[in-house]
Amino acid sequence: MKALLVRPKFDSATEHTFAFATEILQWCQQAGISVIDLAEDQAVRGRVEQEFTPPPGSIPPYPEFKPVDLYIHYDHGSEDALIGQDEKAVIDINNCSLLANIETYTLACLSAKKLGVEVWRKGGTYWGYVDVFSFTTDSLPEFQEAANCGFHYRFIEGDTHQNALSRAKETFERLALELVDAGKTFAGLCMRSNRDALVYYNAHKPEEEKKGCLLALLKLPKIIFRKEHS
Amino acid sequence: MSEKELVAAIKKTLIEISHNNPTWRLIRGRESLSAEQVIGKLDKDKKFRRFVVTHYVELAILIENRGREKLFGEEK
Repeated sequence: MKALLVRPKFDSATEHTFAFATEILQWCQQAGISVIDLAEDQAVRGRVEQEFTPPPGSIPPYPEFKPVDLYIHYDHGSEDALIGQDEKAVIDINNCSLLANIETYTLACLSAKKLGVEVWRKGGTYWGYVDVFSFTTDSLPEFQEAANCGFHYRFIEGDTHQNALSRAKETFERLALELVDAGKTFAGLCMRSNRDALVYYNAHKPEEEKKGCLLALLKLPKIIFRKEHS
Repeated sequence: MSEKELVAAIKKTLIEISHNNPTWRLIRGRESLSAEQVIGKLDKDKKFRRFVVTHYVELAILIENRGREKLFGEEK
């Protein structure tokens, strides 16, 4: 397996999440996953796109060219983009086809809302958050554990998409309760909200797709009726 | 307990944090807030206040359910 890790560091949030990602890097090295580590100044759109560019001399549609199996992005995002060191989009709706048919794992806030859905529609999987990921500095080890646990379940232990997601949600919940027990109620609150914001498209469908399914289900009797009378 | 009382209780814990751990920060996306700034935001930002209150209540319910499970076993 080959992974591309993108980890800018330009503000207090990314100072911490950069360190979180170091654990991911160590796990990959121990598990024999080859990692291209684009850190700080390297974590920009041009450099990322370069990694997805077929080698010179190859002929389209490059059937044998698969640059990476896994794209990891720590951190910062918006509904439709993953942000790089220059605070500009590294991946957005215009180039998200780069993530088609590969797995994406990110801590970036909000990005699962639109970008994740687009990636999923293009055949990729997307581990991310539909809301802001928040944490407090009095509980960094717990938030690191929460942020990274899904990666361990899915890519180090090789668990299924669904199991990895449900195990991660359980971990978030356990950590939230432990933080409250330790008197860190605000940290517990953040942990709980992060749990609610976590999604994994392909373990489940995006919300809007689910609504689509429900609508189709409601229309089912009408469809059957029409078929019987045609 | 009304929302006002709940927010007052939350602020009290934040005041304790600001005294005991002055370097404490809440990182929320690109925002990095001290305990005092979080208190200010609770007053000014309606959406943020809703977020905090909602998750506080959810957490309280979770704790209550876990406590009940420990005492009486899981609900069938």
